[in-house]
Amino acid sequence: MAGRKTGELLLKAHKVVKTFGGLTAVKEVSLEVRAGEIVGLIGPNGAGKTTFFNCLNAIAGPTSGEIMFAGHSLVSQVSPATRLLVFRLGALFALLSLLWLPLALGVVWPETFFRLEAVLALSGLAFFRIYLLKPLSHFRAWSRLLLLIFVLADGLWAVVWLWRSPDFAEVGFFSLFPFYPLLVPGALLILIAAPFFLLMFNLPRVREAFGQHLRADVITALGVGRTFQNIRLFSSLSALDNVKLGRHCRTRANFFGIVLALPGARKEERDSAEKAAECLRFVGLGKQLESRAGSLPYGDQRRLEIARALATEPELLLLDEPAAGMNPTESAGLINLIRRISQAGIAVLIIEHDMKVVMNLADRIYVLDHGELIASGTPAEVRSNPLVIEAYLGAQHAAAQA
Amino acid sequence: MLTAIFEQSSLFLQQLVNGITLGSIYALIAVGYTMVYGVIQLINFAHGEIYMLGAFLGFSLLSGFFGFGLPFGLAVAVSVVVCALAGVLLDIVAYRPLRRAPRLAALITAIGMSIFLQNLALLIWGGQIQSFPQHTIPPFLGEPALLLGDVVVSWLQVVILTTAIFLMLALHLIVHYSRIGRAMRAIAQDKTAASLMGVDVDRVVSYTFALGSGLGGAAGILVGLYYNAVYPTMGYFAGIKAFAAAVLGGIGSIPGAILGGGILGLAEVFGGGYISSSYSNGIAYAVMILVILVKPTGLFGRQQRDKA
Repeated sequence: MAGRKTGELLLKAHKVVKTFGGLTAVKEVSLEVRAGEIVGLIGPNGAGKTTFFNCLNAIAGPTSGEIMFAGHSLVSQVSPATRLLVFRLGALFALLSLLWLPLALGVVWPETFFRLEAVLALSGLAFFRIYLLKPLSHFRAWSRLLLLIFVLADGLWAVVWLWRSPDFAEVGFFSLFPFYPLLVPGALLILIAAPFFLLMFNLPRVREAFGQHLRADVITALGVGRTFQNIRLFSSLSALDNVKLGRHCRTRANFFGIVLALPGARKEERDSAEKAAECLRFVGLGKQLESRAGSLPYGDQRRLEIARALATEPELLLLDEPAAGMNPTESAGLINLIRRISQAGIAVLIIEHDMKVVMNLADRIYVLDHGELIASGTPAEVRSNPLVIEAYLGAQHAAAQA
Repeated sequence: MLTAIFEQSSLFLQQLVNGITLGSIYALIAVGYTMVYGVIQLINFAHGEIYMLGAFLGFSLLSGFFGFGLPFGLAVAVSVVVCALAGVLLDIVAYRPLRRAPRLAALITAIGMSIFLQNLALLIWGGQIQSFPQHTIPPFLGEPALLLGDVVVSWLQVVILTTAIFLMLALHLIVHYSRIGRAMRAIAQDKTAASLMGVDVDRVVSYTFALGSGLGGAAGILVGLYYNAVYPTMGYFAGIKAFAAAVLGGIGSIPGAILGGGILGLAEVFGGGYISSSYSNGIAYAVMILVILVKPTGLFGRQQRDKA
């Protein structure tokens, strides 16, 4: 789909570990998926397969280990402590800048420049500064520039304030305002804090903090789609709306475009309806566009989940037990569908208990048991591996077979 | 005899007009409660204060409280936008840090924000009841638009009703036919799944607050004009009543909030007109209690599925 060559390395997990308290659910699992492949991940119940999936898309990121997807790391590189530090510095600065609000409310300064600044503050400058905390906590690049502007502006305010505060003391409004005495120490604090904020842009530790923080929706936008073991459709929405939701991260219309119903937003909405309908036809639900997702038959719900994941335009599709609860006819249809997905150029990583499905589909299989990778290889190799037989049927049975 | 019936029916019609006007305002506020509840299961008790803020902003921008006056339409638009931003700010400052905290913590915070905002308004505008200076309101608003015998429909009532209907229609279109509305409905059902399908949950919650607060602000200005009175505690009573309207309609349901607002407005006006004006609030709440007794989830409410 993205014009990758078959066989190009797409996903590489290296020694992924996930612990919950004292329990290690995933132990140093390494795994690769190449473009165009269908890879199976099997193992007895509780082997850590779904936990591993959750590590891949930041629902519960790994405790340690590295996951690379198409050149991007899928593991937040920011240590929680560093993130907290930067977040707190940002919060402090945002609160400090609120100190100027009483000045703004007065609107009494004669200089045009300050009156302009005052009106700005009144109409939400303080809001934007606090809003800044959000991108700051997600470490996006443009937030740095904005922060820089605020730091400089506040530094200027502070200098002017300290220089001229005796003059302002005579203006009735400020002396009445209960926070007035705070303004002088506040201005001093800003003057002290500002250089640190400027330094932030060069401190290696903070630069690292600006590096990357990943949320589930960011990873989906990078091109990792998934379905769920227990179906998690938006059951009161129509099938079409479910799939259109998948288009969310591929559409751009912003709040104002939508509220004002600008032509761009309306066209995008039509396009996304078309693309969603296309995805539904692809999985064979072209006739159920307007049905409520929750009222569809079980097999159709499974396919609807796949359509929704396909609408996010993934390069890698994670399927968590797609054949669970299906009868043989339905699972034959599913095998066919997954083949067609693969032919469309989407790599598939599939967790499955139904051996017929997984042996039939997968190019390669990884076997997990008690969180550890115990075998990997082609379906034929895995089937005859004594460790795998032992994991599934017990040691005695394995001995009897050998 | 005939005149008596005519007088009766004209009283009835007049009450109907007043009730619908009041109901449409309650509906506008109730929608804000219900949207936020639908998306993050939080009863935003500070929503009434956003409405109060809308009224005060409208008053200030028209009367020149900030040192400059704006023309009527512009003042209304600016107030609505500022209210929307205030709602988003409220979410970011007060509620977002508590997204994963127990629900009670966020609820207490909401009450705290309500008290804070009320006192902030007291600090800025003072406690006395303010009214819009005569010259700032377009004069035609006070004149009757429609005269049917004794029944008077003023232009202001027409403006309130059309604004409310227009805003509700716009909201319906946004919630049902846009990517943001779809994301709101998805988050209401399953936050994690929505996030895994590529929805930035925090951003969509901010949009929800913006929409709800914008409508609340609009209602504030309309009420300020209707009663020609603006004061810091006006948000408290209106907020409680709109919350009751949202519960009556089934909290979490937008059509429910609209219908609930309408019913409450009519009950209040008819109760005040036919039974006793001093008990009008009590009658409105009695209607709500009756409905809740018969249908505990509200008119359009669905049985909440417990998440195990």
